[in-house]
Formats: sequence, structure tokens, C-alpha cells
Amino acid sequence: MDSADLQASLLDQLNRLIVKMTSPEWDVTVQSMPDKQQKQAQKQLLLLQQSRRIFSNAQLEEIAADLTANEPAIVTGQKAVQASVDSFATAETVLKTASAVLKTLAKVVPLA
Amino acid sequence: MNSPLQRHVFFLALAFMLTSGCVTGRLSQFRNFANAGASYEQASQAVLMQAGTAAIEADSLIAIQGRSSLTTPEERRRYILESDQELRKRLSLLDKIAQHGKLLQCYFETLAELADPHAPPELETEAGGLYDAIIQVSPGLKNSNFGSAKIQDKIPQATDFGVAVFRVKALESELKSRAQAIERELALQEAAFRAIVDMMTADLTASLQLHETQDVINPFATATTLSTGWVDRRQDILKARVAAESMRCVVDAIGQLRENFKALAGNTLSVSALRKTIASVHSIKDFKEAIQKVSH
Repeated sequence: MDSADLQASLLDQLNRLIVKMTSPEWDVTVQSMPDKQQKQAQKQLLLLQQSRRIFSNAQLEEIAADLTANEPAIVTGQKAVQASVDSFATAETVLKTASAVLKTLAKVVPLA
Repeated sequence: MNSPLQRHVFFLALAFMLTSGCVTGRLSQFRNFANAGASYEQASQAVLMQAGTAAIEADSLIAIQGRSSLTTPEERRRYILESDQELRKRLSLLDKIAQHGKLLQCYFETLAELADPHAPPELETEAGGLYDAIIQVSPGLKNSNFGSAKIQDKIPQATDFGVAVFRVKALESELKSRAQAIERELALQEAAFRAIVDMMTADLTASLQLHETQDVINPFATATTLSTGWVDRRQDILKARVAAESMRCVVDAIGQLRENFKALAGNTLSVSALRKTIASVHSIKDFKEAIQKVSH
């Protein structure tokens, strides 16, 4: 994949995760979690949204090399996101995937 | 009709009828195209407005939901300030797309007036001025980034198309000198919408889902009595969620309008092609209405 494809893939992963983690079904799952985990899930959603905003405004020329350097992680992320947006995925799987995507993203673009 | 004079008068009358018929036909072709463009423009401006609203709304609803996980005022302040900064960049890009689209529409209106054989000569200068304004806006739009690559990288490839011979020389000269460039500007609009559509769809879906949880599911699960508007709200949100999936109709409509313009310049624009564009514009309007019902 070229850097533009990698950028599009990463953004697609963020979009899919945001859609998953704002769904009414996800809300029901989060409501049933203990308080501490609920807070973690909410924080994860905030981080995803923040990263998505920053990443969507990033200039490709500035991040192209880092995207290429992280290609294997981006490709793995794509498969993991595909599996976690499935309605049968557990909350743990979704949160783990979101965390992994954010970790990859942090290597590509400064998030804070 | 046997005398040369009678024949001469007959052919003169026939020539007049044919040429005036052609002019009327051509005039209405340009007018119809300008009208289709105006409808597209109106609908797409509303979609752009909606894209901005959806981005802010989704971001705000997520921020409200996750606010308690940001434990210090300093953390919250930093989050919302960064968020505002990024959203401003997004809104500025949507504004550029809207401005570029409005100028294109003004240009097409002028072109339709220029197709009239009685058009005042100032219209040529006006068309030139509008073209200059369009090409002043377009580099900023081309170099903008949205979601993935630069908008410039999403511009569909140029294909050659001819400009027909028109009886109104001012129109012919305008098209000969600028039709190719204007087609590229329509392609730029198409690229801009192509670039924003995925992000817009995700924003809109996220915002509608959060509304569904807040306004439909939670009251149903926990309220002692449901409000009188609960059924209507549920209906609007569910319909809007389906409509959100069809946001690509904007890209289809501008693509068709671009093809119509090429045909118009070559004097081959068919009624059915224009009708197809108008149908796509109606889809944008349906989409826009469904979404507008949900966001206040």
C-alpha cells in the first residue's frame, strides 16, 4: 500500500471504531460494566475522537514516512477493526483493538 | 410558390424558423443546465452546512459522554480547546468548498444569459470576472487535506471534449476559451465531496446513534411516562440513519453535472441526461430533509 492508502486505511479504522463505540448497542454494553471500566471505555472514546480529528487534518507529506514505517501494524489493525465491529465481538475485544489502533496512530502523528 | 420571389420568401421564412428554433432550443438547454446547477448548488450547500453541524454535534455529544473521564478542569479545558481548533480547520474547508460551488453556479447563470442572442456585451466581462474569482479560490481547495489525501489527488482525470459552433459568438468564444478549465473546476468540486464523504458519514452516524440512545432508548428504558413526541422522534432518527448511508448521492450528482456540462459545450446535452442529474439532486434533497428533521 502507498502512504495515501495507509492514511485512508487508518482513518477508516478510526471511523469504524467511532461508529461502533457510539452505537446504542455499545452504550448498553458500557452501562453493564463496573464503574472503573465504564470510565476507561468513555476515555477511550474521547481519545479516539480526538485522534480522529487530529489525524483527519494531518498533511500526508508530513506523515508519509511514518505511515510506511508502520504499515504492518496498520494492516493488522484493519483486520482487527473489521473483526471488532462485528456485532458478536466482546467489549474487551473492541477496547483492545481501539487501544492498539491508538498506539499505532501515536507513532504516526503527535496526538497531544 | 413557382416564382423565384415566392421561393426566396419561403426559404427565408424556413431559415428564420429553423434558426430561431435552434436558438430557443439552445437557450433552454443552457437555462435548464443552469437550473439543474442551481438546484444542485442549493442542495449541496445545505449538505455542507449539515456536514459542519454533524461534525460539531458528534464531537460535542462524545465530549459530554466522556467528560467525567477527564478528571481535572485543566484536562477538560485542553481537550475542548484542541477540539475547537481542529473543528475550525474542518469548517474552514467546508466553507471553501461552498464558496467555490457558489461561484461556479454564478458562472453557469451568466453562461445561460450569454446564450441569449440579445445578451448585453457586459456579460462577457462578467463571465470572465467570475472565472477569475473561481480560479482564485481553487488552489486553496486543491491543496486542502481532508480525511485522507489532498483533495487534488482525488480529482478525476481530464478527458478531451469539443466545443460546438454556436450562433451566439460571445457564447462560443466563452466556451472555447474556458470550457475545459471550468470542467476541471467541476471535477474539483467532485473531488472535494469525494474526500469529505466518509468522514461526514461517520460523523453523522455517530451523532444520530448518540441521539437515538439519548432521545429514544434511554427514555423508553427508564422514564415513567414517555413524551408525546417520542414516536415522532424515533421515526425521524431511524429514517435519518438510513439516509446517512446515502450521502454519496452528492458525489454522484456533481459527477453527472460535470458530464452534462461537457455535453452542453458540445451541444449534445440530452433531456434524459439532465433528468438523471435532477433525480440525483432530488436524492440530495431527500437526504438533507431527513437529516435536518433530527438536528435542531
